Amino acid sequence: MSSVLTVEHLSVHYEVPAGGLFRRHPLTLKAVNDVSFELRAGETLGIVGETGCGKSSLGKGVLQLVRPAAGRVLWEGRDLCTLSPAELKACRKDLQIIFQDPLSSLNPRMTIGEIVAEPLEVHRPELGRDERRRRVDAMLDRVGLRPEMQSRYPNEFSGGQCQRISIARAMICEPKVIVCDEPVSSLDVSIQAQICNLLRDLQRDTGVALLFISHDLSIVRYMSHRVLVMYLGRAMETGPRLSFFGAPRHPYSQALISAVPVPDPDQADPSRSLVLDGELPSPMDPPSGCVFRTRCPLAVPVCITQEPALVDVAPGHGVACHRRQDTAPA
Amino acid sequence: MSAGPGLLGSETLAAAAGGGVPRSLWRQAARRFRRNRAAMASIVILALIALSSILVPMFWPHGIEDASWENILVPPGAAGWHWFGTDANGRDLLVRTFYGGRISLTIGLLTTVVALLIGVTYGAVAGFAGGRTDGFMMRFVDVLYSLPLIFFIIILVTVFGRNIFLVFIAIGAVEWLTMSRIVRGQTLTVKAKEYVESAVAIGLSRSAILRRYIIPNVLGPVIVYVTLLIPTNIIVESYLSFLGLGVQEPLTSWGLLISQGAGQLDSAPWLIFFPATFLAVTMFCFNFIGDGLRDALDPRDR
Repeated sequence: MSSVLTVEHLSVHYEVPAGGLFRRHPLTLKAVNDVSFELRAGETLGIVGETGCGKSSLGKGVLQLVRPAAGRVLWEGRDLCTLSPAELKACRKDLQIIFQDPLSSLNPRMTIGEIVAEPLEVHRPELGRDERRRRVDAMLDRVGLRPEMQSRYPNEFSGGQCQRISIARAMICEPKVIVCDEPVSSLDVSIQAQICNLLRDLQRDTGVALLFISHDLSIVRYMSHRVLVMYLGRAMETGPRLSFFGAPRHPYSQALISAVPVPDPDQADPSRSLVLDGELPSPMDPPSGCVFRTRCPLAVPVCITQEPALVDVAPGHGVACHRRQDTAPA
Repeated sequence: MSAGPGLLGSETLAAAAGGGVPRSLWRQAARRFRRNRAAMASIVILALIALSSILVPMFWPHGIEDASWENILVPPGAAGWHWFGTDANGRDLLVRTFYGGRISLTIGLLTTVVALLIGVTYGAVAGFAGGRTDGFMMRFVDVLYSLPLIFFIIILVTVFGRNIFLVFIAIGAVEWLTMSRIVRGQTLTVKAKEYVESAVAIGLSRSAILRRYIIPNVLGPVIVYVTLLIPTNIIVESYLSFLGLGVQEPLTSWGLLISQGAGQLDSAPWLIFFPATFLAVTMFCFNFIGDGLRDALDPRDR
């Protein structure tokens, strides 16, 4: 499969306003630091990590909702980071986003019909009103909402229904890539499953590539073809789903996977449980060398001085860890 | 159209309870507002005051400038159609009170419209642009804020002479400042919402985002402030007239009538009683309406 979107050494920084009148230089928060990956057509890449690890900033940086500080986002041979606003606007037809909070991502003063039709108005102005209306009807039907609901307002819908509306809005222009920024995190478990299945069905039918951001490993395992683990803005490990979940090589990934609850506690293997000590360090002042070293059970002196590079340990399975030799399954 | 549950049984359909009519936030607010008795009564009273201010001076047997030496300082009573009595020049107070109502209400409304237009545009642009533009625009507002209103108006009056339009301009030019601050604050809140980001993500232009996303979502507090600004402006006009800087004879307004009546409080108390009562009732009505709107537009705030 060919890659539709290639991200190279992307960094997203935020300037934290200097406190006080006399501090001249604002602090820089490096939310995403030198992350690279490629997204292939029809594929789901799961981005996993704790709250505050830069997953959402990565998604927003890819779509240029936040302008990246460095790196390239290659889309159809062009670097999105260097495009002018007008050129970028044309690309937005194919690059969409679904947000976490379904209600606050819909304008409360617009009807569902207007919300779903808006991308068509922007990108396909040549379509007549009837054709637009027909497509909105078909799209609403596709995401499991009745077309009669068009004249209603977002506050009349439940969270799951609002997320369906967001999906309809994102899908109506038949995009190539959708960034799903924790799309199911605020929903009930049963509805999470419905929305996940809907996304998978839509992907099967349209071949859209998904960048699926989540902190829930079980959902990522269900949704993704490949996985990228982030910690403090850096990529820790990336690999195909089976290889990653079967044999995670980064101590952080191992800790994350061991923390996933097992349905039957009697089946849980206590020897595999790995609980991390300490707190997430401040992203304003990350540790030197490997950012994970302060909480890593395997840390050695070299981890303090040298930042590990992402090295392949199996085909397509990369790990950024100095002790990758010692983390191989026995 | 039936409003049954959605296709998926596990999702409850909030719309099912609402019947066939879509319930926009505005519509829901209107329903809550109609249930507020104080606010609804205030609307009726205000409408009566406004209507009589328009009609009474047209049909009343006395005009506002009809002075009469025989009827100086007549106390209120049915005699000679002087229900509210007459002033020191023998002019009928009832017609002057309603005529003053015309001027006071007009000034209140027009100055508020001026403040609304300038304030909403300025505040929304500043908040949406953000950064340095926002900084400059709001510092400019701070500078204007520091000029006292009276000082500003005295300068205008000395330069341009006394003129009722000057009063509009002066009040409008000062009162939009607060409006722009309110709108800017609201814009900053709305700008951070994900739906604005989703508008950027679909490639909507900045002006379309401002028009479709920002302004409709900041209007709630603005409407409430408007109902409080109208009475404020009426009061401002009243004290300007009281100080002799506002409306000039032979025109009159509630503030001017009160100022004239205050001089004869001992000998002819009705001269201050009637205009002051109308002014006070109008203030109360606007404030009740403002309270009602606030509760209706943001039920969580109660």
